[in-house]
Amino acid sequence: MKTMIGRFKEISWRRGNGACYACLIISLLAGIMLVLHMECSNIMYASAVASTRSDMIADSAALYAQSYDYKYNKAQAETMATFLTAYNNGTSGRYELTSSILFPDDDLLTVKCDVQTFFYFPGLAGHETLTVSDEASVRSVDIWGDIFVVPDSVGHASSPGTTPPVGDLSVP
Amino acid sequence: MAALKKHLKAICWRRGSSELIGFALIIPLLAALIFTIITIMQLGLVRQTLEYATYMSARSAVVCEDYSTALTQAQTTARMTLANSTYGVDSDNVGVHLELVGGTSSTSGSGITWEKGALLKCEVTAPISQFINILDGDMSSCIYVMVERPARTYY
Repeated sequence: MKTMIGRFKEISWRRGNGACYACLIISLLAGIMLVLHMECSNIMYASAVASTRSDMIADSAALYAQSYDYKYNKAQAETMATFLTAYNNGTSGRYELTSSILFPDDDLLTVKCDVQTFFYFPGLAGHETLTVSDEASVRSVDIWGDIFVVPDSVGHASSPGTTPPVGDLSVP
Repeated sequence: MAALKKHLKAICWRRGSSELIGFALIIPLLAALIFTIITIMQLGLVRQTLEYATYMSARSAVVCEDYSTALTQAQTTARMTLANSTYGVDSDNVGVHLELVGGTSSTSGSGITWEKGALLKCEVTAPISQFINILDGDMSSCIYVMVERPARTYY
């Protein structure tokens, strides 16, 4: 034991600091990588949310608002998009979802979703929040062509101009 | 053997020890950082995969004609989607919870009818085997989607 303490005292610490400094630099680089990866993962997650929610809102709104003449009832599509945006906004406190619905044509609707989330390290990013956008379009296609024609006498709740049903927008 | 002994005797142990001690002191920190990076990478990938699995699961459920078929379909889809991932998700123990929450569907008695216009809450929960234990419990994802079938008849 005495010999060991004696040897420990004899160690030249000044000469041996190279490895320590090198490891500290590697640790610092690893820390920077960690921060970058966390932010990257955050952005990828927001992107996944924006992508899935815009697809889902567009599909649901299109299906809900499609009329028998293969056009969309805009009021109904907007109602469903509002519903789904409000509900999906409450699923996580990590992001805020906003959506807008556009009708470039009578048989085409486009839903654009913006997902706003917080940076883990706002000081490094220079912003408090980041916003990821995605959009999805759905076109109503007449797969029957001239084979199946719905007579005008057949009424349907989704015919253009019909007032959409009133639902409960309160998020559980 | 004699040559090896000669080499060992020639090493200046006093000067080299501090390098070794310095390295030994810093290596736990370095290892902890590397393990944390690996785990955060894993959790980031799992979170995205789970988000897509929930979406796929909900999409497969809403085209079903009733709740029980939808639940079976959603569970199968979630497990199949997550089975392809190799990020530590225990796909056999994935839980899927479906719940009708409202929308514009009609109600029968106290429940909401499974029909087009109703909103469905789909929640997928998966146990994760983490590299180091950062996150307690399971990871879950939730999405709301409109039930597509059956459509109401108005005429």
